[in-house]
Amino acid sequence: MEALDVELGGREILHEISFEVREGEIVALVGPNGSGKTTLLRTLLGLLPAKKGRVLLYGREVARLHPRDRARLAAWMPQQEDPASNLTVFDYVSLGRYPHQGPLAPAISHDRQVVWQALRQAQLLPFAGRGILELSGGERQRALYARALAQEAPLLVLDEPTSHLDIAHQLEVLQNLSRFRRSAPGRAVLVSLHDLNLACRFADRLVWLRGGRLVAAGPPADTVSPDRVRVVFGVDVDVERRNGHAYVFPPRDRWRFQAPSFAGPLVHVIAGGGTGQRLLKLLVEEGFRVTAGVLHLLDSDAILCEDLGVPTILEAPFSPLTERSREMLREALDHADAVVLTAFPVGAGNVGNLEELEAARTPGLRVFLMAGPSEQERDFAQGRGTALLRSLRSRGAEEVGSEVDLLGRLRSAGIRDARRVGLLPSLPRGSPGEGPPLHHPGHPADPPESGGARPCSEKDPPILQRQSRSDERGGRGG
Amino acid sequence: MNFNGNESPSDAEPSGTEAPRSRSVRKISLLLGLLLLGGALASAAVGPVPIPLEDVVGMIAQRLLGTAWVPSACPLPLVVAGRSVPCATMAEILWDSRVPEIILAVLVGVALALAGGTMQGVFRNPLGDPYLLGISSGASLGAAAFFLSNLGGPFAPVELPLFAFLGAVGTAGVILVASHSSRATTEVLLLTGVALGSLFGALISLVLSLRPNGTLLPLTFWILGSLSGATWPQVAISFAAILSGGVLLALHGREINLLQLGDETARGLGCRVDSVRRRTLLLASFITAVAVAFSGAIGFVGLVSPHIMRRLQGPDYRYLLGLGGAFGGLFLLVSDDLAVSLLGSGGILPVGVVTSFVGAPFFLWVLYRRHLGQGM
Repeated sequence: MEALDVELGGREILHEISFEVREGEIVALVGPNGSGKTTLLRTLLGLLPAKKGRVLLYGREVARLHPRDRARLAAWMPQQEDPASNLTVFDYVSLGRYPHQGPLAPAISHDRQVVWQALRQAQLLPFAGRGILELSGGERQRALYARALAQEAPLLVLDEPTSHLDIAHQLEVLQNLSRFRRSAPGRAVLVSLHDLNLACRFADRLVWLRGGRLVAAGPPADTVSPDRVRVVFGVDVDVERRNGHAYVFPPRDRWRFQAPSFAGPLVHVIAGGGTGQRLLKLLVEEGFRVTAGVLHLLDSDAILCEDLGVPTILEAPFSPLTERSREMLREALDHADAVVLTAFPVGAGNVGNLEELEAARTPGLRVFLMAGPSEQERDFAQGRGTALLRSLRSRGAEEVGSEVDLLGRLRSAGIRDARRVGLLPSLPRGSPGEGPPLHHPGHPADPPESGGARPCSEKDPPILQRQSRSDERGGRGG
Repeated sequence: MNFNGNESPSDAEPSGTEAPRSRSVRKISLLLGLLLLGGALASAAVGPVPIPLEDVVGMIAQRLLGTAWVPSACPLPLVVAGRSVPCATMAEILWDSRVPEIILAVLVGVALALAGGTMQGVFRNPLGDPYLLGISSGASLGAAAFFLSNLGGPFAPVELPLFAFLGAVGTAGVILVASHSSRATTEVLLLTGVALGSLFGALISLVLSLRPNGTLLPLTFWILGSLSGATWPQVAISFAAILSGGVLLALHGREINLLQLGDETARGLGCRVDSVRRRTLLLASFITAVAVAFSGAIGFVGLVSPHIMRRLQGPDYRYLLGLGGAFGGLFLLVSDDLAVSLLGSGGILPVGVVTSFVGAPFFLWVLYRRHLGQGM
């Protein structure tokens, strides 16, 4: 028996949607914000007009139903309610009897019994005399549920019931729904959920919406996949199956390059095999903006990057760079002002890093090579690594003896760390080991214009320009 | 999350929640009824010319039961509400002037309180009063037109209320027609009423400033409200209109309860929200227009009465409207008694002044007596 049969089309927000809700099942609408879930639910119940198509509620067309008849078949539970008066919980739940009573009929004892029963089922008996506005969010959800039960409608329609609830209440709501749909013949639940995992766990069927269109419909096990999630939500995830349920996780081996949150020079580090430990720590501690990659999962440098919070391009262990990783590396090199290569062993897995670097043509990019074992000793890529390093050297990559040496080179190249330009105000200027403070006249760290890294462009924060002006005036001393 | 269950073994409702409410409603209704009756009786004794209570009772007994009654001395000639009354016997004063005034006071109070409660419910706004849709301004404009046109004389008792009624109904009509458009949310309706009210207020000020002679005094007093000069025809019309409109309005209590949950939820429960809103606003406007036509724009009654009832018995509109109405009748009756007797033989105060002076502090006291908050 069908509870709900929908064919809608032609609204600006919804297009050509057709699906059904069967007796005894929970159907969950999933989709990103703005995909039309709420609009769809409202249209289904006749709360919004539909231009084309029809909705059948237990075989009767919704558009032709008297509002009270429709309310006897389907209970609408909106996401948020804002009652304007402080009715008692009992009276609040009693309003659910309106479809059976109409405006004038007095409340008969049967009505009262139904209300008490609903309060009992929702564990609200101790609250019956309290004002509805005095209840907490979770308790109000239960009152809403009790009211829907008092309505005695076989179909429950809920709009994002879990949005404002903590995990305990979210589970409570969904467990209630799960019990409800099996509790009597003819019952069913249609719910829109923003939490994909809850939907996969509790729904019998999912309806995927995007941009007002139906993308797929079916049981979670059949319809959930990384591709589907990417198409509908625009994000990459991993999908795992356990105990017959599908679970969706944020991806572990993917990294999306994001536009810098504040302007400033960027240092990209290519390391591996533990060679980058000191360097990465130093750069991060000194306040540089660092990205890294491509590193392999399980590599100790990759693990360190994760600990330090360095955005890193990761690749599966022991596999050569995929096109996707290369693409991301190209992007990273595009945004970087300097690249530092540690003396990592070069093998089939990471030679791609050198290939991409060699091919990179970012203007003004400075390349630094950390000292270490000779190229031949490090080369496990049949000479390819050596050749690439030679080529890099000939194009102007600089040898650097130590990490501290590198810091000096970076600064003299105009690649300032964030602290120095006043973006991180917490650390004192002029602490030992950092070199003379910015304002000292004659400081070798000249205004960025004279450096080679990147012209002082719209990307630099205004504070840089201000400080360089005071430098020109001779500074104010330390 | 309490999981203590508290399961009742049978399906009998746990005592203590449903019963007290209906008991308190019954108590309050009884109390109000008694107060109204007693108040009406006492009011008959009050006025610029005090009539001893025993004479009041005697005269009523004579009219109703036919028992004989011997009056005390005839009072001196007096002037009541701008009309001079030749040496009237006490019975004439009672039956021609006081009783109509008492009945009108109760009717007007009931109408204003019912309308005020409706406005508060439909607009979900605790500041709702019967004049929310600009009705008082429209009525005042009508009255101003009457005074401008200088139609005095014998037709005044008919024309003045007529002009005022048309002004009131016209304003409400504009807004209700506007409510048919799809953009008419409650906010839009409210603001339209506010705008119209301001416009008419400005027009009234214009009239007053350009033609102060013949308009300033009478219009100001009319706006402040007055119940004296009530005639039996007025009472008859008011009775028919306000009682029928009021009863119909009070029957919408459950639907106004639904409106408190928001339009979406109310529709979800099967309530035809737009039609309910239109009907209730129409009825409220109608009874307010009738009340204002005969008594001027008496303030505070419509605002305060529902709130006091809300404090006493809760926000359930099934009872709030009716009980609020009864309280409004009582409130206005008492205010009118004060208005006619406070100045002794020096004249009568406009009723609107008394309602504000009495109502405002009373209202504040009720508000701050308990903790504030917890909605309406």
